[in-house]
Amino acid sequence: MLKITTMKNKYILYIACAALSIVTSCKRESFLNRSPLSDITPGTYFKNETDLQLYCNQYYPALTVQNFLKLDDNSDDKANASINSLLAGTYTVPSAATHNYSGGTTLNFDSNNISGNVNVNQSGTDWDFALIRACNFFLANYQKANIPDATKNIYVGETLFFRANDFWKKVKAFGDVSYVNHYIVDSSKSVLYGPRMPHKQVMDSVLKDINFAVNNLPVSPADGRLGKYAALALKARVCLWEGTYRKYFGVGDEATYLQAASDAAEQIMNSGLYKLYSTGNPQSDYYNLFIQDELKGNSEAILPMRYLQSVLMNGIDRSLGEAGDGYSKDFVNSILCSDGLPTSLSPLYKGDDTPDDEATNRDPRYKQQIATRGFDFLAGDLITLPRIGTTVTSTGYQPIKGRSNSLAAWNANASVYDFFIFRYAEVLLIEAEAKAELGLATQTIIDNTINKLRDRVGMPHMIIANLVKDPKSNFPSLPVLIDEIRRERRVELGAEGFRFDDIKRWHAGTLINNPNTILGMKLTPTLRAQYPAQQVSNIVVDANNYIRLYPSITNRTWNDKMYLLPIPTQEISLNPNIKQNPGW
Amino acid sequence: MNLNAFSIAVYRQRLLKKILLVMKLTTVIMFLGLLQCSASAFSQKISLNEINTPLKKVLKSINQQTGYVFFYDSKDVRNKNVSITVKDASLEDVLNTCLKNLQLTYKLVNNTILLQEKDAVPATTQAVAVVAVPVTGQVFDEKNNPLPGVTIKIKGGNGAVITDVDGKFKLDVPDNKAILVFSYIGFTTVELPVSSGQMVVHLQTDLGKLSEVVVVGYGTQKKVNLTGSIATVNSDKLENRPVVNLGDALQGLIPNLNVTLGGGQPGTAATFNVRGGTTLNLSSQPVSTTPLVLVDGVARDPNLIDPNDVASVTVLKDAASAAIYGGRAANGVILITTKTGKAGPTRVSYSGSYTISRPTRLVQQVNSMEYIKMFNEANRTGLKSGGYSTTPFSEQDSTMAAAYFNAPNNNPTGYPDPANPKRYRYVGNTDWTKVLYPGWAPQQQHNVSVSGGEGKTTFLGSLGYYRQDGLEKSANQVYQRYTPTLKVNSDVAKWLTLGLNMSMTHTDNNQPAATRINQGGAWLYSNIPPVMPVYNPDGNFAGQGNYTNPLAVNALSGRDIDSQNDFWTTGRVVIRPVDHVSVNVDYTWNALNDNRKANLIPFNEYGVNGTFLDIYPWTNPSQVIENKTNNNYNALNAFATYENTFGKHYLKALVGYNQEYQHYMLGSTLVKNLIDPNLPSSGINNDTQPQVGSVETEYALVGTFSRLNYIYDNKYLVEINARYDGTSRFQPNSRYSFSPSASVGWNVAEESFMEGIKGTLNQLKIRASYGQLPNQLVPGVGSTGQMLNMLASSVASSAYQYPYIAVQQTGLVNYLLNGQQGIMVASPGLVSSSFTWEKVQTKNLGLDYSLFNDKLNGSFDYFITNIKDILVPGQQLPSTLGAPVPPSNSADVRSHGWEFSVNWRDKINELHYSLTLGLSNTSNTRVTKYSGNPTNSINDFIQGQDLGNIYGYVNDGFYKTDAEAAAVDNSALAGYKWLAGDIKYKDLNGDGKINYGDNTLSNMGDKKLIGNTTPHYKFGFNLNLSYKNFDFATFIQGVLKQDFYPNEYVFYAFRDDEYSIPSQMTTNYWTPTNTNAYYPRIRFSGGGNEQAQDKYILNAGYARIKQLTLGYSLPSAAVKSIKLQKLRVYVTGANLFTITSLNKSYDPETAASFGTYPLNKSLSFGVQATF
Repeated sequence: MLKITTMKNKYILYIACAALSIVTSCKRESFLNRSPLSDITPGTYFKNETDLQLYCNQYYPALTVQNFLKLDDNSDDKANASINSLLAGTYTVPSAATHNYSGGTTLNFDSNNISGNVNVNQSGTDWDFALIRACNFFLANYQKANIPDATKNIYVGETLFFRANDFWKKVKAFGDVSYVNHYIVDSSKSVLYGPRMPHKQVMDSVLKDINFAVNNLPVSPADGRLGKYAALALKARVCLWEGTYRKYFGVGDEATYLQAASDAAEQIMNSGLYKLYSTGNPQSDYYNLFIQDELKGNSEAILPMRYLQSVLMNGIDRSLGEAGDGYSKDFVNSILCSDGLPTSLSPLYKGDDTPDDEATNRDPRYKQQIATRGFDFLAGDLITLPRIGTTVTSTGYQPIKGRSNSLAAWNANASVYDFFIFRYAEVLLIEAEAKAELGLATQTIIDNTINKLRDRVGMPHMIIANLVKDPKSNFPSLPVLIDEIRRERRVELGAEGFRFDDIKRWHAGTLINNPNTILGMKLTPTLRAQYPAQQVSNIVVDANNYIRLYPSITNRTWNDKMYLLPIPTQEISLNPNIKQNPGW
Repeated sequence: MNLNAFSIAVYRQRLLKKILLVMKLTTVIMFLGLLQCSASAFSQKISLNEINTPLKKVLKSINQQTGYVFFYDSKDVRNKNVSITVKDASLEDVLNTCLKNLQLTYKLVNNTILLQEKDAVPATTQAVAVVAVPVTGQVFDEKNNPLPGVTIKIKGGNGAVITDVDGKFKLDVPDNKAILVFSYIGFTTVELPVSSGQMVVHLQTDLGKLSEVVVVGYGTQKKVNLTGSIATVNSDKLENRPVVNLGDALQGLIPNLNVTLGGGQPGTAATFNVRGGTTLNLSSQPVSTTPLVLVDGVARDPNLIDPNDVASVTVLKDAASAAIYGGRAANGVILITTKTGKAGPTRVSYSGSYTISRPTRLVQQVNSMEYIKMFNEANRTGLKSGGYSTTPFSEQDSTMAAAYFNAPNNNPTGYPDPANPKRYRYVGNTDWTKVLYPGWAPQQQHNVSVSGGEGKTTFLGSLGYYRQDGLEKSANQVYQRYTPTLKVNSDVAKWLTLGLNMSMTHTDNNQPAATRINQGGAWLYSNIPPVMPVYNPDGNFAGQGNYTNPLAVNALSGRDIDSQNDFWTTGRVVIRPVDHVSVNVDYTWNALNDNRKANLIPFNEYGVNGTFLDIYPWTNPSQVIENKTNNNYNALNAFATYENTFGKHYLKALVGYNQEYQHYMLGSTLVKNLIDPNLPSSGINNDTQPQVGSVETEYALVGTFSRLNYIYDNKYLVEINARYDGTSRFQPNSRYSFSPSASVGWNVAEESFMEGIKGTLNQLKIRASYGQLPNQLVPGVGSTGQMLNMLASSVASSAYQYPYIAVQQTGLVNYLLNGQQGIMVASPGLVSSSFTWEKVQTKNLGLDYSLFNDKLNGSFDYFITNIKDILVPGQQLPSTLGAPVPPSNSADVRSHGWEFSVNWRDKINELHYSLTLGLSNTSNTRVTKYSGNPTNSINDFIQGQDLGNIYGYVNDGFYKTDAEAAAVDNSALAGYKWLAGDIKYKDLNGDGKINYGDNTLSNMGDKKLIGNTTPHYKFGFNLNLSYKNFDFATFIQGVLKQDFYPNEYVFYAFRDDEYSIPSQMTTNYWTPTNTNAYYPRIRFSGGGNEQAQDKYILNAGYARIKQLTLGYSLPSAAVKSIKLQKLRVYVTGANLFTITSLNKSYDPETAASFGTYPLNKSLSFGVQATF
């Protein structure tokens, strides 16, 4: 018995030893050390030019594209079937910021344009710093690449271009913003919990970033990439905005920016690389410019947003046809008559009792951006009467920039029409306005800018000496020259998304109060009778027979708080150093 | 008397049930080969060389050499040693030699040898035998299956026999007053007087029986000796139901094993959860956590197992029971054991069923007239109040729609649009739900198995087939699953057993590609108006580019075909070097291959009279996606067990090692512009920039574990576990974790002071346990955590497998560079390098009881679960960071709960019945530590608050007049003008405004806590009856209380926008003439009225009859006449009736995830046969 027990004990000992050896072998580091097999890690990246370039590619979808869809719905130019909540005073403070994070990284900066869904008044989206972080991460790492500084600086230039553009957008939305110009992590408390930087100070940094881009981006960049002139175009745009903002809000130091805007515009003009698109057909060139399959190589395109069959396509043409959108009465009224005089002064103006009358003898850009009789809606479906009472248009002034009769483009998400990111015409308008604001606008300046635009569409020249103040001007106290330059800008850039920014920088929010901004075309009983009764039975008109888009209100009321968007409440509760914008 | 059997094969045989199958010829041939091998196992040639060896050991040796099984009373062989040296001797010689000097005699019955003590007066025995009365009979189980191997003894006498394969026995008794005792492991022992003629005896399964053995981690244990919280279900509860997968089958059977059905779409997996355990994740949502599921000791997806192959399911609920599995077991463990072959003649079994099913409950949308009326009503409100408005339906629309509605045969469903003569304005009346789910869809399943084995080797082979057609008829979805398995075990030598399990699951899923692109793939349509017909008046599919017509997409776009092979092989070696010790080494290899091909075919959309309008955009251009996944997984388990009894001391010790490795590879291609869109092959394309992708990740885990069981005098039970884990998911200095646990039990009924009531109280055991388990799951990737479903790319992603390493993602940008979409490398996310395992601590107090001869039994458990160091974003940070906050181990949660089960089993004359009730509850989960929400925002977790809390307003009726509404500042909720009929909320904080303050706990304005979404009081109730050849079973399952906060378009008319279609339930809305309505005034996007509020918190509790089965077994005589051993037919209804207060548009089981594919209710007809 004893012997057996001993034998058993021996076996148990063996087992125990075996077990022990297993236990001790458990810390098998080589077995447990596993690292990514199909992913890039930062430690090995940023080694050559390709690395820098591929990294910078992620910024490009953040470019602002003038694709017409819903752009300017938040202004006095348009009145969509669905009322704009900010201008209607019904916008509520978002509780949290909306982020573009995807899987722990920042993949999608396509927040507001490529997909064609600009949603204005997005303070949640605008208070997102993912793109800023992507830029700052680049700046913290690009020096690892073993390539010449000049090459590196091209990509630094791209990065700073996008960082500047993003901060400028934040300034437009929020005024003062949290300015983060270096790479931070979750422990960077002083930055994360810091106060907002004042508007002017941020813009000075923005200008510095843009200047670096101007100085380092190539004159002839690779296909699709940013170059020196794209940077100059951004500079002109940003500086005009900031210069006029400073002037009209009375915060000072505007001259530098106005001058910078003019300088940048002149550099572009003097380069001789760009000119307005024209085939000598003033009645169609302007319209045709916006339904081009290919803008690469177009002389008016400083930077186009391109689309190619089967590679990248959009659905804008179709969406525009079904957007329930429409220019406001106020916008239409502002279009000059063909003699160069405003409707309030011109003997050629035939009144607005019928849509045909109203379009007669007007600036050719009228019929080239508003659907009138004979416009081919789609493949031979000609418009006779404005298609009110349907999803085609709300006001009767159906916007047709970017709309064509092509079935191919109508196929949902199959259009290859290109859009502008920077259009030469805007540069000319910047030059004219900046010079005028500086008091330096001469007839030569006007001839080189405004009158070039007018030449394309066959309008009489603007002659400073002959200008007469429009008695129905939106800006009765402004000098007539600036007033008329602003009108030219409004008409030329209609539906391209500049108007609300313009209203803000001109400190002209009260334009929104004008009842005409939410009225549509005149629908006289005679005209109404020409429609199938049931189609227009729900349409309400005012005492003068103008279509009332929003029957509950006769006019909108501007509140100065609308100059700035509210900051999401969560951001304020997280960081006590951030105070809400006034009025919200 | 304690009967022992020492052949492992026989031991398994007794635990397992018999199922009859038919099999394809090829498979039969395959098995015939095996049969020939094992047939030679019954050998008569015995060689022994034993000197003074315990008799037991010698008998074992004979068993191993011949296959003959011995039965004896253990006291008869105790302390008896023999010496024998023979070579190639006959069985008879050997036995005679062995027993020569012992007071033992033997009897050979079939292949079984019975040893008995020699009668004191052998001559008398002989004499009695001569005058004996012969008795014959047959023994069956409750379902009339013959029971082989039942021991029949004469009470107070010496005769004993074993039933043969047909359950038959023949025995001589001294006189016709003798009492026979029938006993069989797992069945209640019965005593019956002999009767003349053929005796028919039915034995009852006894789950509560003390001798029952349950599967535990790395071994088995007698149920009576368990100290942890463990629940088991055997195959009889899983069979006979038209269930797609094991998840369906297990729902409600085990208290606090929560099974969530993913919906009724063919191929949809169920998810599991034990005891409501939740953790927190990055998306600020509590995440239900998945237990570790082991099939025959290997982590597998239970959804891919044929329920027919399952022998038993065990759930290890508390940390002490699960601790042996360490880092993967934090959320409990489900152990699934599949059926095994057993010694005896070859059996062929078949079971099959044919099922028809249709959705349980479906959304009911409004008809065209109601729709137009509501649409224009909502639009008028929008216009009146500055809210959202759009182009309304015109008078002409209304007139035409009314005409069609009233006389569909004489009126068109559309007319040319005045604004665009090429397009119709639709004025039909379509019930889209009915169009999509028109009737019954078929399912069928078949399972054939062949099993047997003699002596040393046993085998089981089976082939299962399952086919289900989708409920959405036009989709023509067909899901098929094939599950061949093969299990072979061989006791090669007395010290060595070898085992091999091979199984494969092959699935084919063929469905429209539309479901993959989420177009036309929604299960319930929220945005197709009832005015739209299925077909335009001219016969083309309706839609016209404005609406996705699901029938058009299903019919015209391509197919998505997924084919998967999941191949598993486990080889096992068990060595018994000495008595009481066994060493098990098993190695598992798994190859999971998935091929998925989906192609999209563009199709045209047409307007008036077939005018071409456009190409449906979401399947254009033509494309094909091919994904090929290859996942290799292997696991090594090695463990040694020592088990022995020293007098009153029982000791069992286990020590082992576990290692796992997984390697995942995905290759994907997406090409557009196929040269022939109907030939979906990625090589045949005109795509200048085909997209190619790949994912490759690895994962490794090692663990050592040990367990010690000690029992004193069958009364005092102790178990101690320890495990040390290491994972590749964390960085080296935080990668290891130690998890200890302990549990104790006290068998009160065994105490001497209980002796008096032992007859009544058969068992009373009190248990207590404590354990801590680490959790290596990484938050942020949803609930699928384990090795399961490796095809879910999130689980295989780098973010999941290497969470401490930041990676830079790549992709395409929507911008053309050099004429192609730019390729980008993104910035890396933020990661914290220091995070490590979460810890789950469970305390459990339990009670097992059994009374009245085991007729009444059950258990009760109370538990407390603390989850510590949960990985959550350490601290909420301002958006200026520009990236998600990295996780750190910084939150704790706590919950507690109980579960209770009771079973009563008895018979009244020939009516056998059994009732089982399981009831469980888990408390709300309380966040006990969380620093990520310093402001106590109610949109995030809050320290000290429960998960699932619903904060909302108090409904105070409707505003009666516009003036009353205008007087209250509701602008924080909705900026439009509030009107009569909008909801009046109580101004709880009395500031004159209705608002949400800053949405924090201390200032939530007029909100308050109005409910909690945690389900409470889950129950399952089983009733089984059998009467003569009939059997009946029903199973009811449900939840008594659950707050449900509906927030879908079916609940609020035009919930999202003007495109959402109201449901029937929303038609009772406020109008000036219906001021007593359930719903407020309707608006497009009427967010103000759709705030969470007490009035609209519903109770999603329900009771559902999951199963209702009636079966009939043909009488054995009839069965015999057609050469069968058993034949049973049955009919089963599943999910036929539901009791709930929810509207018909909601299925209470899927209400929380509204919009999923509807669940089935079904009717099945089945047959089971054994040859």
